[in-house]
Amino acid sequence: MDIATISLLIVIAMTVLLIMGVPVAFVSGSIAVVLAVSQFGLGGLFLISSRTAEFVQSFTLIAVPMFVIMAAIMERSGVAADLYRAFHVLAGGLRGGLGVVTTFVAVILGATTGIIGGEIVLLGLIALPQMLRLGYDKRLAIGTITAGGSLGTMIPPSIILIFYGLTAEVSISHLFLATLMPGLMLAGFYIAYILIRCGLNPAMGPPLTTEERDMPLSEKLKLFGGVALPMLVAGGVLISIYAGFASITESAALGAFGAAVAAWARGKFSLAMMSDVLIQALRTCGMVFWLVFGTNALIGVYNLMGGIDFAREVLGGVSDEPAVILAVMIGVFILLGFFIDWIGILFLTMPIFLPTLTSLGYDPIWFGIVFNLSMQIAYLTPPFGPACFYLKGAAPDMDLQDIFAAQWPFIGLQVLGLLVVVLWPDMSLWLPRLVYGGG
Amino acid sequence: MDRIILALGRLASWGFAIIILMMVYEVVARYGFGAPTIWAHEIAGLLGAIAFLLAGAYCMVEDGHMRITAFVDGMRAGTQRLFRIVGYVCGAIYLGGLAFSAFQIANRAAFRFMDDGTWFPERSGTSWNTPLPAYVKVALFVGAALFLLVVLRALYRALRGQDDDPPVRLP
Repeated sequence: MDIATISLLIVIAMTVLLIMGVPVAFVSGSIAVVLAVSQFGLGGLFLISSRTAEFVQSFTLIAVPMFVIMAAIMERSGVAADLYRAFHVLAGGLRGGLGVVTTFVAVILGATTGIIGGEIVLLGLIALPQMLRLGYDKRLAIGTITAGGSLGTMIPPSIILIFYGLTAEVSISHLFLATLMPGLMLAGFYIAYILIRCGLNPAMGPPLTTEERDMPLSEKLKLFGGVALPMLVAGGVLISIYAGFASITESAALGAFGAAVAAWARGKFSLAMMSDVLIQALRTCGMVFWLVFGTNALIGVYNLMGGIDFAREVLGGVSDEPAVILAVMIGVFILLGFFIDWIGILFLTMPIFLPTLTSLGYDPIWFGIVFNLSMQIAYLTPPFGPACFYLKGAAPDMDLQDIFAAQWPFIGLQVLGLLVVVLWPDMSLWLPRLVYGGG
Repeated sequence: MDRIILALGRLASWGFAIIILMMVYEVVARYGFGAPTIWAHEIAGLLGAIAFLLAGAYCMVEDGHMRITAFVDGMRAGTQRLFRIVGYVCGAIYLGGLAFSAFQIANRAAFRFMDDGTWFPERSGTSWNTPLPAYVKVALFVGAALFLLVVLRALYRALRGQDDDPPVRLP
């Protein structure tokens, strides 16, 4: 069998198995094993285990559970609820003010976490009932939470960018800086959208009454004081990464430690809570890493068969115009985003895309941000928008149809954001250039 | 068996706590006393790898691995069972292959002896030069084998037509 036939068979097998509901971690792994044995005999399996062994020893990977632990401790110590309360007295008087506050809180929470999920659930529990109580338009409220909550991976730290940095062998701290402006820009789009919609039609997002916003100054100060320490921790982690004070993993561990101290200061720390948080980190690692192991193995075997070269040729043959090839890549991200999650997309496409991309003269850091933005879209798009399911989990009475329908205007805004960054790369690149100098 | 795996997972998750403390100590030692440790990163790497590798079996016991259920949900119970069996077979193929080859590389890395019979495992080659890579490979075999056992048991049950136990979750 030639490589073209095999490639086609791989795609078909993956699609069929995924649709059958086979755990994603097993789909790519079993195909890798079958390919390895059929092409190279039992010795071919060596490739799979040695790649896996090499991968788990990567020190940067440890940053992943550390960030999960940091975010989970913050979550459990009630920081989000206090943040929300603190801000909603400030901006609640505006039309659509609660929506703005929700986006704002989402950005700040995004700086404490590198994954989506927890953040959407939190906002779904805290902000959604408030907005609905005030009579907010249901779809506007839902979209604000799913889109805002997804910003968790746009605002550094971001697990996606850690894995991208490892795959593309580029500096993760550069990536973290480059994603900041596009992330804030998206948040700005959401806020503007909410304000315009509610400005035109005040019934969509009525303001809070003055009595509700009335809170004695001492209580306000207490609220802000309570959230100050956790915010300092989150900010400190980013500064430590940017300034090169400590490696990503060390900074993440310091952040987890700081979050625990902050929780203790708020009287929320206990061993039982810590034990829960640790198990949660283990679960995340089990799900994410084993998925990577399988995909990583498949890519290794496929590469040895000459598949990567083949796929690159196909990709390069699409057009002579670099911009067209770039558009095809982004199209593939978004298309795959409808069906599989970011980590699968990253490990399946990047070994093929990255070399082509750099040979065309594009900046891999910038491409990481383009990928990240494409994944924002993937989070929201039905039928497998993870953000929608997280919200459904937090608000079970919501109809899934309603949740899906709420996403479209926000998906439109994300596409707009993606276009801006694609057409104007400096939007994301000027900040790393400013901080680290050079090109 | 579930209990053993959940307990192992819980134990491994405390490795994360140890990593946090070690990293804090490392940074303090480096900046506070100008004396970075040589052991913190290596031990953290090992603890992390062990936890990541055990986490697969742990999630399997809890039925926590990601799968796309949207298409399957509407199907008849018999079809769903068939597809579940396909899923377990895929898992068995993957993990069987992984465990098989991990056993070989672990064997080669860990059970090396000098001519005079002294133990000579594969070492990290850093200033501390621990036999870490050998341990990681052993952990890979153990992690894959445990995961395989959980999958095989689930497969056996599904073939015999027993419904899956509700996933065990720690409180």
